[in-house]
Formats: sequence, structure tokens, C-alpha cells
Amino acid sequence: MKIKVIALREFKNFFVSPLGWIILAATQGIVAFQYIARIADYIFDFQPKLVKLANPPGVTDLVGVYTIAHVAEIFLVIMPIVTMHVFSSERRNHSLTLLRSSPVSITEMVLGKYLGILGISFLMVLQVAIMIFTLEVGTDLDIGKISSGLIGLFLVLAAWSAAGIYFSSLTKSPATAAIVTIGLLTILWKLEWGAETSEHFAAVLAYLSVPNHFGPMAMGIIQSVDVCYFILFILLFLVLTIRRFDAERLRH
Amino acid sequence: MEGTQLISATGITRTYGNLIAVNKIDFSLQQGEILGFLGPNGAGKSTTMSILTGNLAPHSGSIKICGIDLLDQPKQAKSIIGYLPEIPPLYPQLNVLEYLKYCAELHGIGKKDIKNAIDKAIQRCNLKDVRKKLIGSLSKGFQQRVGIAQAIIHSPKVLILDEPTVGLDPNQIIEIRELITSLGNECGVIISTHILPEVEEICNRILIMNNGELVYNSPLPISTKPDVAVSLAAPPTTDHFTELFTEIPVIQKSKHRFIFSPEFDYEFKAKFTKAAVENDWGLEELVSIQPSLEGIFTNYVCYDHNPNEKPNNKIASGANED
Repeated sequence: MKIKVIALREFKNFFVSPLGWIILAATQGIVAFQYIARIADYIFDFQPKLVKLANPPGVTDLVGVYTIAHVAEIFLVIMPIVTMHVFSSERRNHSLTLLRSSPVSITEMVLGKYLGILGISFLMVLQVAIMIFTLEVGTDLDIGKISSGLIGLFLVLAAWSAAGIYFSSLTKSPATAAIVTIGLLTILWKLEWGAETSEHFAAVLAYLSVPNHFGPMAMGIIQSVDVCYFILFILLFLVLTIRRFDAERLRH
Repeated sequence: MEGTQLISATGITRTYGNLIAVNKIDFSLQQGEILGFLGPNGAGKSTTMSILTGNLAPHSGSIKICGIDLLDQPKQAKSIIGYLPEIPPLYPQLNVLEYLKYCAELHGIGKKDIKNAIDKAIQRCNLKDVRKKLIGSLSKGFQQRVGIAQAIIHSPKVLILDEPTVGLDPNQIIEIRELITSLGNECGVIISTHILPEVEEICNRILIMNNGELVYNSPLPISTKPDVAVSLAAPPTTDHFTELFTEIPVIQKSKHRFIFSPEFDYEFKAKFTKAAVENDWGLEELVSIQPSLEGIFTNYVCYDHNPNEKPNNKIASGANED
């Protein structure tokens, strides 16, 4: 019940400031640019070549899957900006005392905030989905494959939200929270590079890298190992955030 | 309901590193009581209030709010406490109504009662005209009142206000004092403040803290029995005084000045003059003083001057660093 109250407040807070609307507009703009550029490529470049192939890939793969897979990267910057305010602004406004003196446990407080951000992540996935489903007007899409990609994208955003909330709980400055989150997420995204060059840690680095778990989903394959990866990712950062606030009450 | 124990705190201690912010404090709050918390800056008042409201955990000691242990059942205990911290916990981007609705929901007030609770808080804190304005655009005084509205929205049994009248104009201060007095009839109130007349006006008990310790705890109004101040050229030890004048409390103000709190000041004065002459203490002054809150405050709060912090030393060490 209290979780719902905090989640709704967090969700609404996003739309109270112009920043929220700007973020949504920017997201839509960037996704649209990527998507239209790809459609143009498809019409003028790929289509003539595809005719020559016996079993050519369709629009679903060449436009839908491609857009989802490439659009994920822009959220490396967008998600940290969405999450940067969650706790750091409360610290700056000294409004965290309100939550701390209310009959709300720290776990409820963190989960509430997280679910609110999850709602915004869902909206953003919806923005991508609407754009891709417009293809349905002119052609037949593989709905299953696209849905799998969108679920993957949502899991990625959910994981990044958890990380963003954690870093936002560490500082008073939203900008610091955003930059540290962007740093961590980018490293996790680019770990593959390390996996390619390192002999000893190749397996570990490959497992930790986000694209290795998101990739299969974007291609339409949902594996429990990938879903588990994202759930563990989320749990890790939520537990760290809860522990952070617990420690603050008790700190010597 | 008069006499019900609302808060009982025993042995609360809280340290920050080597600094003991609050040291083994015991006190209680009864129903219908307005407790004034006094002390110089950094005495540990705000830390104590944070501990009482569950914002900070004490390193030792126990706190019971209406018999509910704050550390074991924080949710139940917090639901009957209203707290206004030193800086009101406001969301500048919300309007007053939205904000109070959120506070009411956080305290688990049911859907049916929310409107009532908000209306009551708005009416009590005189916020009707600004209820649809953004909190960020309100003046400091109005923000302070929104903070108080937030603290009373769930009709708490214990109200803890950290410097509630800071930043208000004289009229608003009077309004807030009246509000606190009327709230004091329904619940127990603890307020911290630096304004001594305010305490005398609205509180019925005062606590004075100094360096993390509770140094004074007594009901108001303070006793009208006058104290006796004496200045001696060659004073004996305080032990010697206690030997001579058993059961008369004495405070040493400086090397030569002492303050006695006897039952009857005339009787004591005669006795003391005689003793002073017999023992050759060099009596310079002997005068009755009417006790005032200000007097009590300065008596119990002494400032420790650290020789290393003298401005001269600072300049000298600064110059050496270059």
C-alpha cells in the first residue's frame, strides 16, 4: 500500500518538471531518427539486393530487430538522467526526513521509488514499441520476435534503473549520480571488448556484459539464464540501496 | 488523559566518531505537556529529536512512544509521531494540497478521511489562501507552516518541532505559539528553540542540554524563590560550603562568585554573613537575585573555550603554512 503511494508519487514527479517531458521528447526523437534512417536504408539499399536472395530476411529483422538492438545504447545516457534525481534531490531538499519519519520501512521506500521509475521505463519501451508497430500498417511483422526484443529492452532498462537509483542514493548531487551511473553502465555495455582480447577472464567478462544477455532477446530468444542475469542485477542494486540507508541511520 | 506517559527515553547515547553528540539522556513526556528543549548550538538538541523520530538510531538506550518500542516496532511508533525537522521536508515542485495529500497517504490515512485531515491541517495552519500554490514559490513563513501542517496531518499523539518559529514574522510567531498551545491540549509536544520568552510563554517544562548532556530538567514556571549571589575575596572550597550549609545547592560561577539556592534567602543571608566574618572569607557582595530562565540558562550552559581555536593562533598557523 505504502509502496504504491511512493511509486505513484515518483512516477508523477517525473512529469511535474519540464525535464521529464524533455527526456521523453528527446527519446522519441532519437528513436524516430534511427528508425526512419533504417527504413530509408531498407527501401533504397537492401530491397533491391534482397530480391536476389532465395530466403531473404524480412522487415522484422532488418528494421524491427535492428532498431530495438541499436536503440538500447541511447538509454545508456537517458536512464541515468531519469534516475539521477530519485534520492539525490531528496537529500538536497532535505525532504528524505519525511519518508524516514513516516511509518514506512526502508525497503518499502526503495521499492516504491524503484517501481515508480519502472513505470517510466515502461513508458519509454512503449515509445519504441509504438514506432516499430507502425510497420504493421504496410507489412506483416513477426509480433513474437519484436515482443521478445521489447521485453529484453524493458529488462535492460529495469536493470539500469536499479543501478541508477543506487548511485542516486549515494550523493546530494544529481549530476554526480548521473555521471557515475553512465560510467558503470557504459563499462558493463562494452565489457565485450575486454572479452575479445583477454584470455583468462573472457568467460567472466562475457557473462557480465549486458549485450550478451540482451542480444539473444533482441533476436527473439528468451533464455532463463539471461532473465536471471537481469533479475540478479536488479536485486543486487536494490539491496545495496537498502543497505546504504540502513547504514546511514546507524553510522558511527 | 492527563498524566499518560507518551515518551519515555532512557540512556540515549549517540556518537559521531569521537564526538559524543548525545550522552546518556533520560527524560519523559506526559500527555498534555509542552516540553521546551533549550541549549546552545551544537548541544545535541537536533540529534536527540532525530533519534526520537527514528531518523537516527541511538548507539545505546531505549525509547518508548506510548509504550511502543521505537527500535523494535518502528512503524507503529512512527505512526503516532509528528515531526517538523529544522529544515522542513518539502517538495518545492508540488502545490500545498498535493504535498499534504502525499503526507496523509504516507501515514496511511484512509481514502475517506484524507480530505478531512487535509482540511483540518490547512485550517489550523492558516494555509487556505495558498493551498493551490507551488511550495517552492511560498515565503519562508508559509513553508514553515506547511511543514507544521505536515507534522499534524495524522493527528499524532507526540509532536516534535525543531525550531518551529524560525523565519516567521512577529504575527506569525504569535499564531504558531497559539497553535502549539492548542495542540498541547490534545497531544504531547516537544519544541526546541533559542527564544527564551517563547519557552516561558508556552512550555510547562524545560530541558536544557549542553555538550550532549541533559543539565536541567524542571517544570515551568520556575520557582519564585530568589537565589543569593555572593562574591568572596578568599573563598574556601565548595566542599567546605556544603559542609557548613547542608542541603543548600550551590553553583560556582567563577573563582570568587557563587550562587546559592536556599529555602529562605533572608535566613541564609544572615547565616552566611556570620560565617564569612568568622572564617575571614573577605565578603565583597551579598545579594538576592530573582531567578529567570535566562539566568538558569547561563548558569547551566558554560562555553568551553579551546585555546587552540583562538583567532590569533589561527592567523599565526596560517602564516606558517606559507
